[in-house]
Amino acid sequence: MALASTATAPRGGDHETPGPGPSPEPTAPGRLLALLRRLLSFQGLLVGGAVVIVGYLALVPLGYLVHDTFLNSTGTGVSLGAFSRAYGGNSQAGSMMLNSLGFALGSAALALVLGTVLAYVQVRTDTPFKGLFFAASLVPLIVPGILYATSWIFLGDPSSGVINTLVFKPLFGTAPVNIFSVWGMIWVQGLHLAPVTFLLMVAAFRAMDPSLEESAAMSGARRSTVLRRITVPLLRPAMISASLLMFVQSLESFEVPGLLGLQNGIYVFTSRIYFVLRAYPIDYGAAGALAIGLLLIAAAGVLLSGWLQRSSRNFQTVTGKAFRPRPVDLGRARPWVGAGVIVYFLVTVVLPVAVLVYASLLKYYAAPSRKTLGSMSLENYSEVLHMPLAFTALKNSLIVGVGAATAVMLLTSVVSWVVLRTKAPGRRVLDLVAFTPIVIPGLVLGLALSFVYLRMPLPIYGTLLILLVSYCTRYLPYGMRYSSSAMAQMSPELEESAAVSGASWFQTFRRVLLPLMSSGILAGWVYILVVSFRELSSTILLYSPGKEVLSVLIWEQFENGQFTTLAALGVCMVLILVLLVSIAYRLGARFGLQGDSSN
Amino acid sequence: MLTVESLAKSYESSAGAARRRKSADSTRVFAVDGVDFDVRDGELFTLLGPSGCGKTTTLRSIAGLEQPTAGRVRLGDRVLFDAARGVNLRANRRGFGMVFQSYAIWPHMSVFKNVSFPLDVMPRGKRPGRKEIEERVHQVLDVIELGAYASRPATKLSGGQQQRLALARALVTRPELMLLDEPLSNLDAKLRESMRFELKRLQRELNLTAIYVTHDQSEALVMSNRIAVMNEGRIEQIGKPREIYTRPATRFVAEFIGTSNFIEARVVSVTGGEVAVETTQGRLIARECPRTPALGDTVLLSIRPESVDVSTAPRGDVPNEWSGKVRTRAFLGDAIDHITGVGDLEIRSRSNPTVSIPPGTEVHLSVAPDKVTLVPVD
Amino acid sequence: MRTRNLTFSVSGLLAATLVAGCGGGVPGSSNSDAGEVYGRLKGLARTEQRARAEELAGEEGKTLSLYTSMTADIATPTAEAFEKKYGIRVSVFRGNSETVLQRTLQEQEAGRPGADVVETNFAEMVILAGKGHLADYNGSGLDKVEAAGKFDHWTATRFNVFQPAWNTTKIKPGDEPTSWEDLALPKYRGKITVEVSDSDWFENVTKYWLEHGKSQAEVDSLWKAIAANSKVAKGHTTMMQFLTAGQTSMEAMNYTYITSRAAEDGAPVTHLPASGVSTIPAFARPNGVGMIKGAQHPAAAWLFCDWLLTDGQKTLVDLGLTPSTKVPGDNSVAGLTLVPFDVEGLSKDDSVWDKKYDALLRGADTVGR
Repeated sequence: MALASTATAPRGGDHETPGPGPSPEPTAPGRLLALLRRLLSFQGLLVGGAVVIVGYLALVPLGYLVHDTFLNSTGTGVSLGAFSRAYGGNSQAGSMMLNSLGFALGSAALALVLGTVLAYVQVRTDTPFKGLFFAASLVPLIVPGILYATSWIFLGDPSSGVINTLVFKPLFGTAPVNIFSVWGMIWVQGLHLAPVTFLLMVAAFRAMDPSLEESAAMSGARRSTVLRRITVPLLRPAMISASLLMFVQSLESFEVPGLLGLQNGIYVFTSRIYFVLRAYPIDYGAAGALAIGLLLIAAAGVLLSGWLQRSSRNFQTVTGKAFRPRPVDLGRARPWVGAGVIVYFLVTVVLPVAVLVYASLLKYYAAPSRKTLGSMSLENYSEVLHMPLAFTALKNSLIVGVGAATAVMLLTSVVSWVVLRTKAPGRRVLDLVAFTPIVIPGLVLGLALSFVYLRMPLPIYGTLLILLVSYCTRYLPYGMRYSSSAMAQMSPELEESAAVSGASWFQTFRRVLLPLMSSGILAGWVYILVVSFRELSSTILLYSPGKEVLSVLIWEQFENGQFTTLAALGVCMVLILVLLVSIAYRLGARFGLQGDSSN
Repeated sequence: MLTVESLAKSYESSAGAARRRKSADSTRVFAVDGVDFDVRDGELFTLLGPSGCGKTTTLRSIAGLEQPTAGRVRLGDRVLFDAARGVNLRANRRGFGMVFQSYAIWPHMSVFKNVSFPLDVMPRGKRPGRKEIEERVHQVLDVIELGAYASRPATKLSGGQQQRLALARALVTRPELMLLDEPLSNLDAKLRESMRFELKRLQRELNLTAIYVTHDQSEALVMSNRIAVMNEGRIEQIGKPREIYTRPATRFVAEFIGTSNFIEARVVSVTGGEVAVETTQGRLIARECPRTPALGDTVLLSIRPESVDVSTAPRGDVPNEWSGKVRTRAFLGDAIDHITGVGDLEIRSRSNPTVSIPPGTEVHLSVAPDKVTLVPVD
Repeated sequence: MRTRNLTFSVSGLLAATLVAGCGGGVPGSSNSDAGEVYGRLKGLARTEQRARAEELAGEEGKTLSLYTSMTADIATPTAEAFEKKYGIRVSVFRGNSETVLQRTLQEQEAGRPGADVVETNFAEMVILAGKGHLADYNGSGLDKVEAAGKFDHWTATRFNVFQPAWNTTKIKPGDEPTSWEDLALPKYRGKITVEVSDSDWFENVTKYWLEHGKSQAEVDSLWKAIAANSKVAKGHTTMMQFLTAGQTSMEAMNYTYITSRAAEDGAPVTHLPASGVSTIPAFARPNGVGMIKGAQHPAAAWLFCDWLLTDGQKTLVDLGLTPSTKVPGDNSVAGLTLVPFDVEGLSKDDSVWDKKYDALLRGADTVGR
């Protein structure tokens, strides 16, 4: 290539997209007019609109949080008192931070390794049992966190867990598995998150030209060397993106630390926030200070990932040169890899789901015995079907889930274009801002939204729309990661060739960008759809009677103490979502992309 | 037809870049530093230069993919870009066809869809009807011999086919100007050779006007009507291939195009079309030179190896003759090179492979005066 | 197609947020007639109130919005029973007591009350009343409620009774605790689960001990021993799941109705020793109901309060709860030694006890100070 990409890139891996920058200044009015015309063009409105919406979604809760954190008790000035309340005294802030970081790093690392290996095996090898990946990539996502963690308690409790009593005790005479430890938390969280990494990495592997690896193999490199020296570095942007996401999501998750950590006094940020938000009068300042602590860690993560990716921007793996994906022949390793797939499938899907199915057939949960096996019935399922709200809730969840997934992916694909493909001032800030909702506690988000929309003359509060807004806000960061890693992998020449062919920006976006990003976008869409079915922390404050969603029903069953009914509901949910997602993939495949071949 | 005037593109620099100018406020790096040329109707105009010379940036500025910092680009009397007046027509409004180095074939579309895309996205008023689109796509696919592949996914094509597909896509709108950014550099040698002639044939038959970017001098010499040799963001020389080859205006051009023997010399007499120069190994006569030198000027002589006649027997009747000893020889297949030591000089000569002289042999070299080019030394 | 100057767009979003953040100026949809309706009903003779309220509720459109922290399996039949009696359609918002409180406060502060009537836990009712969001009910429903169940602006409807609970296969007869102090016994080491937010229980037991002759030092060491015996869990129903499954052996405190209902399903759990009589002081925390000021359907709210304190009490008993009035057939407190719940202390300095309890569970060294 010519000078363009070698000598001139001004900072890191930026594309040589010209800035509005230092051209000789034309006359001021002409320039203003041109700017105005540009902004009023279709593209300007679309891009500007997306940016404004994303900024708005992210900044509302952030503003609310910052306002509560820094305002002093009289409401007249700025104060840092909240921070001393949150971190000072006997709050054991140091060990809490260490626990949080250890837990989040561990979970992210586990999820990254598992997800990447699985994605590689799925996309790049001739492994047997490819069909299992589909389930393995979805089921842990679908099973609500409460249920997933609970299943693992039944499995991994140090005294009565099935793994200890049925496997280790008889075989080795010890009970080494303790789920109530940081390692246990990492295990459960990592397994729960691995599908997200898997979805992200599958998109990345699909988009990568295998000849890049083949050429290394031809140079005499062994397979492990190829992986280490070629594959991993090429996938670095996607991997960094995924690990950042996993890291921050683990930081802000509460179900696992709440159920597994509290037992032995392992406190993390979120359990402190829970405590603060539970006490009355609620010390929003202290909760905010904790959330801002999370935000700072997350921001550091974003910056770090940006720094790590600085040289990766040139690694666009989707170029205009087409390639034929050819699976690696595993040879003698094939049965071993197949066995690995089966084990993974057993551990992440079959075990927890079996616990759920088993529980759903009982009247109350008890460890398996002759007595419990004899008393099984389908009563819980008939109870689920007769719940008056079941169908309303399913319908509402579908509306909100599909709506949020679609809106977020459309918005973020435009916004990630702005972030990655232009030199617009403030684009890095935009990227960061779009990331902030990930650390805003659900309850704070709920409060912020009800605060804003109760005061707005629009019919949003008290309707499904407010849930839609809330989900869009919560899942914005995830959408951004999926979109931007899809976009980062795409060579700008593909867009440029469309532009030179006479396509307007919108035509390029719709006919070239979106279809090419579709693998990543679909993965993001599925992710958001699935997780929005279980979002509770803001939903519980914002839903209205008659506008219940499934997560509210789940919560109700949980509160009722109907674990077995809840398990039945969980099983139904898994079935419905698996069906839904299969349809989505089929449709996606029909859209003419390198759809999902695994289902 | 296309006129480029004092085009420049600079960046804020951080460190270690090619060319700098200290201005009052900051250090700027110039990727393109004041380029002027015009492209005539129906010609294939080549921007030739090494990596980093600014040729691609120039092409992308013409395409509208990059915004230059200064200068003007006009197509006929249509202003495409004018920094001074703040005019910058978007790429999609310029109506050019472009072939990218990576082909930029859209992997999610079929061959047909890739080609029909530029027609499909035309504004409603100008867009041809469905049937016409189909006809035109098939017509252009036939021209580039991909007719049988129309319904295939683009990803199922071989490298050469993809290259032709990219070409078809650029041609289908019958653009006024084609921009080709190293289109052949990803092909293997054999295919590249045949595609050169193919491209040239198409260009001639369809009477295309094209700007062609390459770093491959032989490609440029074969295909171009005219060549602009670029170096460090500036144009060193514009001319017909023969001119560029035989009469390089600068040392850079002479070095970059082909191989050459360079000999330092001083002008001792200028008479009519003949210039006599003094070298360390005696006097030489040169005929024809780009600029008539003044007496006493130091000049550089450029002598192409194939212009050097080598023989074991002295000729005696020619003006420029040396004698020396063969040091090495190299067999090139279609030619043979001898490197002969003449005093402190080393002269490379190229001749028919039948002439092969073992090293150590005493030989006589001669060169016709009109094959000696004087390159001015700055 | 590249680079468009997006400065404007990026800064535009800041403006948008500002507009949204300030928001104000939207007229609230608070019902200004509600106060009048409440006043009119209050002024009537007790015998006339109910008929008049029914009439007014008909004019309001026969609907009612209830915010409650009752679990769905209680809230739904309760609402149905009320609907059946008066033909008033009830829409129910269910949430944790914190959520109910937060939502109500948000709506009240924005002047757009969504609830007509609120039924939730003690602490949250105290706050709502303290903030002046509740209107007084003075109907005949108060007659049967004991003095301890009447509060400023709200009235107790039911009690959550604090008792330990255990799995009968894990804790054999004779091994059960007979006092709160027993929880500190070494034999229970590692067998007890405590709930992370039970600071009101912590407060009540502490007060009780101090009032019954223990020194602060003794109380502190008892709590330390209990904390050392315990693991921490979150959520009373979650804990009960693990207890019924035999995953845990004993809970320091759970609400008796949760234990009873699990036992009714056949789970091997109880809060009573084999003798059927518990000697452990049972604190009964009142949950209550209050009418929202500015409600859209004040008359229906009045009717609901009235009903929940009279006929509704029977419904609550049928659902296994402990009512705030004497209801024939109620044996939810059978075998328990009820003691007064410390209303005073918890209304005032709840957050202090929250912090102390939190510190105790985390093993921070300032416990009890």
